[in-house]
Amino acid sequence: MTTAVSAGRDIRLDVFRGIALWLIYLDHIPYNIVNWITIRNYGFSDAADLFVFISGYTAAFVYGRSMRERGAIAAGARILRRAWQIYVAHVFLFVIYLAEIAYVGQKFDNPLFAEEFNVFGFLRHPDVTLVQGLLLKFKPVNMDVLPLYIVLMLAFPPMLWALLRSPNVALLGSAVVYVVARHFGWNLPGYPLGKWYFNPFAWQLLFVFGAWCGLGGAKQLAGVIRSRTFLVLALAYLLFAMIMTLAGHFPRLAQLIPPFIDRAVNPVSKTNLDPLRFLHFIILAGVVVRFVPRDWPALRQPVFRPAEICGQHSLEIFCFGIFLSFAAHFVLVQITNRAWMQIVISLAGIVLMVMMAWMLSWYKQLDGRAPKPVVAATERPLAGGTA
Amino acid sequence: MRMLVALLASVLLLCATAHAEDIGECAVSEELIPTDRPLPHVVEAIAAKRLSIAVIGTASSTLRAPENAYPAQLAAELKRRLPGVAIELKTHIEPSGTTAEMAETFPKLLAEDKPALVVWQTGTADLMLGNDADSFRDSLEKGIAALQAGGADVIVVNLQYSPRTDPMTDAAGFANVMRMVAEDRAVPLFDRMGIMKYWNDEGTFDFYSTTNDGTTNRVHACFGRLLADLLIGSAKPGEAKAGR
Repeated sequence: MTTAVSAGRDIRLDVFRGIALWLIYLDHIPYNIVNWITIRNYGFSDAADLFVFISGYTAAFVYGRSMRERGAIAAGARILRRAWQIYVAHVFLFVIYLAEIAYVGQKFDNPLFAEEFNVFGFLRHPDVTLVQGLLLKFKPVNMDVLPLYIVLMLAFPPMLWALLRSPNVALLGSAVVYVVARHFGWNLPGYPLGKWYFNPFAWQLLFVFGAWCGLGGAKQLAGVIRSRTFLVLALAYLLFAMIMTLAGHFPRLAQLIPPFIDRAVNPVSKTNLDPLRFLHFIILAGVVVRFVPRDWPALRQPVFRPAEICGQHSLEIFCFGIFLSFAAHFVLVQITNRAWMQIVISLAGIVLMVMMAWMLSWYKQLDGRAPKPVVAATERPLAGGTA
Repeated sequence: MRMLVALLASVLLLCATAHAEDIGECAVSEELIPTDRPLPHVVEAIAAKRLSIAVIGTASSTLRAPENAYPAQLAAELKRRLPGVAIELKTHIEPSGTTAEMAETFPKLLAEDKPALVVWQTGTADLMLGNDADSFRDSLEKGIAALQAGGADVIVVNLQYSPRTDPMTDAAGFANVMRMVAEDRAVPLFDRMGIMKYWNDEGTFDFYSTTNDGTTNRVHACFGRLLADLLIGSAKPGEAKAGR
């Protein structure tokens, strides 16, 4: 498999991960007219799938190289360090979230929403809430992706080892876990009730599939993706998924769909990564890869640069985006929620994310200029910034 | 001076609207009250001049003064619009009851009340406690099936539109689950979230308000009226919708 890791960075990964981060930000602002443009309205999969897939791809790319060069122990240790960084980032966001909620909740006294006020209930038992939060069981809404990412990274060292040894067997193993977990309803528990919004036993398939592609699997699929049959079937499926998803928004359209089709398709579970959803993502990715080749010159145009640098600093920008979505919510409820404000907030958030990414790149340059041992150069990931 | 004139004008305007037909402020667009799903047991009960209804829901189905809350308002509205029909409405509040917990009470409720119709408001407690959408959906489907098997029609009432707290939860996702399940089981849905969002967008009520601004009773009165519209419209599709 040594030949499988291709040299040079695939700029598409950064660009699309950057775009996914923007879309996640937009989707996290409820009642925002701008989130009509995000892909979740037009198909079964959404930006979260893209983020998880690319994260798997880059993790395999970066740590796969490391594992080959320095052995499983060293690479495994680096992966776990990364998981720890993500955990710290999650706890940081969790604290910011609690602060915002505590502030908003304190001024709330409308009897019509006495029941909804219970969403602040966890503030009454900070002892339990904080511990459950640290254990990743209590996860406020929109804070589900990082816990998933943490768990996926914790389990990644052995998976990466297996992927390097025998990629297809490892992918098959991942698929078996997916099928069995869905069949028996495995998931991690939430607090106070429920389960994880992103079931790690199901979503690991997308992450591992991304890793498999990152280690050369993408090349095996290249022939299929280029074929005409694939294109025709893929476009048909994407159209079908678009109609079915739009029908969820427009009852008039829903009436035109035969009930047996509706029953066969819906609900398309996000929690358990419905097979239709997984299929939708890989088909969409295949079509995009077909039309946006790796060496497409336009990708080097300045217009893609903002997305690219956001994608290069994905963890920081993801966290910043979550923080901005809290801030956006705060502005919408405290100042005005008019449509113009929704548009302003959406654009401003993306601009701030880009500025933050720019600043991080600048810091990286500053660090890069400092005299450093040669090792640092080999450690620098080639694609997708840090995984 | 100009301020004073403006103030006077708005006071006059307010008085004028208050004097106009009260139904006005409840108005919603027609597709929010779809009346194409039948209520056969209600039709029978109305024909037999005796309609018994059980409302089961969480804390948002009641108020400090229950006579102002929508179940009592629904009963009053039905009495007005269905003269000669005895309306018996019982309310069962499970303040933070999850869908599964409420469904456990159904055998007893069916046996004791023998309702022709169960108005089931749910979802909020599941949401507050962080239940997952899949288990919620499952409990909801089973609950509706149990009520139907017990010989009752069902109207499900989904969550409130609460713009201040909704961003902290997946309220819209849960409301969507309820829409889909209601459609699957062909039971009418009282789309409380859609209706409230409509009012909010139209400026009828300001749901961003953090204080007790006195609109709560008016909102519940409107729920009662619109629920009556949904009930009467579904049971007798030909009839004029007096409430709107």
